[in-house]
Amino acid sequence: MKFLLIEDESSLAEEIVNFICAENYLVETASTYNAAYQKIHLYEYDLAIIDITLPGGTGWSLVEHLRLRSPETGIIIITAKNSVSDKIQGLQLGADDYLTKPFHLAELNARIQSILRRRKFSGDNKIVAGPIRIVIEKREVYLHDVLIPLTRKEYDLLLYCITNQERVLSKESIAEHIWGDHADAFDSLDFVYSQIKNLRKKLLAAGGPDCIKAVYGIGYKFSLV
Amino acid sequence: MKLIQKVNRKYAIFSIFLLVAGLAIIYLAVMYYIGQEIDEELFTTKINVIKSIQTGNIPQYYPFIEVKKLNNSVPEIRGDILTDVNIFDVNEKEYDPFRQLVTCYHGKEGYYLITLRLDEIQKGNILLPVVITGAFLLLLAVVLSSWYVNRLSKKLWEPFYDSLRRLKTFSVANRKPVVFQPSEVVEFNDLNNCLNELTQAVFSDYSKLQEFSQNASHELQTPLAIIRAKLEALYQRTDLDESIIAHLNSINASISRLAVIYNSLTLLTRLQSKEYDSKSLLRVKDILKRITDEFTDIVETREITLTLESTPEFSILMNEELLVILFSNLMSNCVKHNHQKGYVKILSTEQKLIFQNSGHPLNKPPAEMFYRFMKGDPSLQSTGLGLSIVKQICDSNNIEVEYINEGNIHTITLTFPKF
Repeated sequence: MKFLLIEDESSLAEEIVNFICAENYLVETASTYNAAYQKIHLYEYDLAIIDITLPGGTGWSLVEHLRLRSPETGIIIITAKNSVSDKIQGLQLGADDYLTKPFHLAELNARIQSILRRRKFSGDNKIVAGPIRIVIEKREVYLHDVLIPLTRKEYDLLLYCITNQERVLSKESIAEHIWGDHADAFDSLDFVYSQIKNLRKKLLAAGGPDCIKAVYGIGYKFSLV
Repeated sequence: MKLIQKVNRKYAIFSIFLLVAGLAIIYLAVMYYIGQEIDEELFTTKINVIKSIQTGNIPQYYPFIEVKKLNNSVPEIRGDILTDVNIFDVNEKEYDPFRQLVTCYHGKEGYYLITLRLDEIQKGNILLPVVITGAFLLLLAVVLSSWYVNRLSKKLWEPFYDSLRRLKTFSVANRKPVVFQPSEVVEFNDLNNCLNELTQAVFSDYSKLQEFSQNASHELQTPLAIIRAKLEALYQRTDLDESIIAHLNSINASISRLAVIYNSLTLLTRLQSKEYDSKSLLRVKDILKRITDEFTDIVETREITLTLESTPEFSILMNEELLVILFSNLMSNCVKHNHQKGYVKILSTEQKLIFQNSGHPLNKPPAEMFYRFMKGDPSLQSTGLGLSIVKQICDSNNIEVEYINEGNIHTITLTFPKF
């Protein structure tokens, strides 16, 4: 898989590359409008991550160019502009998703995975992690081919953990992923704990491995090792 | 009071004064003139009476002419004496005012005392029509000139009212400059020029502010994104000890807080912008349903009972996103400042929508909670901006908002404009 990351802040680009490269993806970066424009026209990418404010031009027109040239490429916009109208504009131009800064890298990764799954495996869409199998369309989780009934939150949580395997997920990142914008409406971090506890209990009860490990003081990590 | 009304009122008071003074002058002038005429008449009669005496015919006609022969005594009266007297009228049994001329005539046969009188009643007979005519003319002049003044001031002030009407349509958010019509009047042109400069200054300040808030949101969110990304990279390391983790968590919490504050502040500055100008007719219950659905999970997690006691059956013409933000903030507020196993009740009567929740009593007047950065409980992870956003959205959409706190019960009432 080949990605293009268009972001003018080099230190942010660096961390994004480090985080998603763990998945063995090839990530190219462009830090200006012109560089990005050239790359779009020279190469094919599976996915592009596009910042809207760039030196030399806007990400909006890059999204348009890319959509015209390569309809197969997944596009995710990352921007500091947090308004619904911008979001609508982005999606109308053909972006698959829209993420506002400051985002959690794990969240970006989850969105990337989701776009890739939708674009690449439109039919038989499933994720396998050890004995766990997730059927995306049906939102079903199987452990050793036995269906495990999960609540909606538990399902979201498990999918988020599995897409970010072997990475430490902070409680904030999990809370924001599950409760979205309303995560700050209550002491959601405490509830991350109870959701994880329930999920672990269900997986263990079904004979699964204890794959969601607590990382002291920070959060959790899904690991099959 | 309108300017023209004020002018008219002042003018009316002045006119009444003018009318009274004018009538008084006419009255006095006519009185004086008639007095003069009567006196002249008396002197003419005197000459005629003297002529008559000379021919030996002594006229007597009480009370108008009285001639008395003095028996060789020298009269005490010298010259003509004019006086006002009242004479009893035997027929009408009342006193009538007379002008009296007493004079002495030295004829061949001795002295005569001549008393001549003229009825002053005729004074009134002349006075009345003269005064009425005068009053009528004065009144006509006052009415005509007030009508003219009225018309004139309407015409003169028209450019002023025109500018005023144009100024009323002024909105800093829609960025349409107000164009004032040039006038022949220097003062009005001055006023329009001043207003032009003022509105231009407002536009320029406003766009600077907009620019600042956009810059602030963009340029500050990006470094925040970098800090967060670096932090998450640090979290991946396995060699972190407890104290470092504590520091990292504190940094992480501050980033989240900053991000929320920036979002809220930029939303507050953007609320007035044309971004939210597009309005549509929204069924309040639809949007409310959407928001309460979004909160179902959170409410369940906190074991809060959410009840919708009565559904709002009214609509409002406003920007959809703003109504969503409004309800979302109110719900968030109800949940955030609640306790485990508390309740949130939503009810509606006529044009009102009421959010009620359990919670801790406020230690401040509820109205103060609409101020920016005002927090009921400073220890809570809250920005203190939620309710100021609510207030601003309500204000710009003619929705009345009221917050009442009675002990553990918090009630926010929205009164929607009748549509």
